[in-house]
Amino acid sequence: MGDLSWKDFLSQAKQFLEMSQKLGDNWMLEQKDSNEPNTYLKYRQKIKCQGGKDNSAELISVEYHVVFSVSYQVPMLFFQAHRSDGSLLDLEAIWRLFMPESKASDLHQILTQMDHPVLFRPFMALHPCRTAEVLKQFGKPSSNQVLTFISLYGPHVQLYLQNAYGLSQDFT
Amino acid sequence: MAHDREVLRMIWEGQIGICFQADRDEIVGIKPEPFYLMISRLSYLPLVTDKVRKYFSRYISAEHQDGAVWFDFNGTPLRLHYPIGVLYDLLHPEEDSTPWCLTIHFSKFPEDTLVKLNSKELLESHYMSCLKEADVLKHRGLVISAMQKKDHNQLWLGLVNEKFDQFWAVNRRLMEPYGDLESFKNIPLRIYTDDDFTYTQKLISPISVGGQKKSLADLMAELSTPVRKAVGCRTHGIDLHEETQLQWMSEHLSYPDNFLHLSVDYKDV
Repeated sequence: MGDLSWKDFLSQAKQFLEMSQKLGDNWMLEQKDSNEPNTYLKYRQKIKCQGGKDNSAELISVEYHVVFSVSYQVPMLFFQAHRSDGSLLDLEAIWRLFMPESKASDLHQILTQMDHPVLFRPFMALHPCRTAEVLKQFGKPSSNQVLTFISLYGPHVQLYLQNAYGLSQDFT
Repeated sequence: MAHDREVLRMIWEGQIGICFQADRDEIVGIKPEPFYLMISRLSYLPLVTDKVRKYFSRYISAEHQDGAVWFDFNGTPLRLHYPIGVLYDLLHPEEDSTPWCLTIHFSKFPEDTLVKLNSKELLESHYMSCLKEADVLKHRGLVISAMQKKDHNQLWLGLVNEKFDQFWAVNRRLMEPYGDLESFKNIPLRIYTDDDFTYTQKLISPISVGGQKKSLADLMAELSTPVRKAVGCRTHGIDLHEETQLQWMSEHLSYPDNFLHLSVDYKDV
C-alpha cells in the first residue's frame, strides 16, 4: 500500500547500505539501540551556494538521515546544514537554499524544523503525509522502497543517487 | 465518543502558576520584578507569553528586542512545541503550590537544542502536523482530510483563545471512531520514561487480539520487558488507574494535539 513495516524498513535499509558500499558511496547505518525506530541511514556531503558575505560562494555541510516514521509507517528525510564557521542554518536560510522558488505559505506544509525522532535535536524534515501515496504511485514494484524513497525525495534537497543504484539487480 | 463532558472540562481547565523572571545578563538598568501568570496546561509557551515578553522587553537592551524568545527552568531550555502541562510534569517542580519559576531570554537562542518556533505560523503548522499525525494513527487520516480549512482554523483558534466549545465543536469529530467502527485503529501516544524530553512511540491498538477493549494494564504489559516492568502511569499530573480503557483515555485525556502524553514509571525486575 506504499507503507512499510519497521522490519521491512530495517532490512531494506541494510540492503541499501550494501548497494552503497558496493558502489563506493558513503552512506552509513546508525543504530542508537535495537528499539523501533532507532536505526537510520546517514549521508554527508558539501554543497556550494551563493549567499556568503557579499554574496560570495559558501560551502555548506549537509547531513541527511533517513528515519522510519512509526506513525506514518514510511521513511522520512531529515537533514541539518552547517556553514563552514560551524553555525547551523535556520529555517529561512534552508528555504532560501533548497526551495527558493516556493512561497513561505506552501513551505510550512512541506519542509519545517522538528525534533529528530531518535536524537531529539532540531532537524529539518520533509513532511511525510504524502509519502505513502507517492511511493505507491511512483515506485514500480520495487523490492526496495527505501531506495525508491531516497531517489524521489532526495533531489528536493540536493541529495542525488548515482544511476547505478537503480540498475543494481542483485538485491532480492 | 468523548461524551464524558465533565472530564473534558476538567482537563481543559487545568492551569499552572508560573513566575517569570528576566535573564540577569540581558537587563540594563533597573532589575524588573517577576511577572506572575496562571497558564493553561494545554497551551504552548509562545501562545501565552505575549504579555510576558512585552513586560520584560522594557528592561533589556535595544539590540535584543527582536531576538527569538525562549525560556529555561533551572538551566534546562524548554521546548516551545511541547504543551506546557507536559513540560511541567516532566520537570517535576515542587509538589506544593508555589509558582513554577522560569527565566525568559531574548538572545542566544539554543539552536542545537530547541526547535525554533518564533512565529505563530510556525507553531500553527506544528500543531496541524500533530493533528494530522494523530488522525493517521486513529483513522488513516480520513477524518482530518475530510475537514475544510475553516474547521482546521476553528481548532487552532479554539486553542489560541482557550474556548472549550469552539474547540470541541470540531475536535469531537476527531474523537469518534470512523464510520461504523467501534474504536480507533491505533492510539496516538507519546511515552516518556526518563524525565527528559525524549519519548517513544509504538503502534498500540485499543483492541486486543481477542477483540476486547484494552486497558492501561494491557498497555503497561506491552511496554514491559523481561528485565523492566512498567508499574505506573501519569498524565496531566494525575496517576492513572490501570483499569482505565485505552480508547476512553485517548478520547478524554489527550492534549489538544490529539496525543496522549504519558509518563511511565518502570521497576527493574
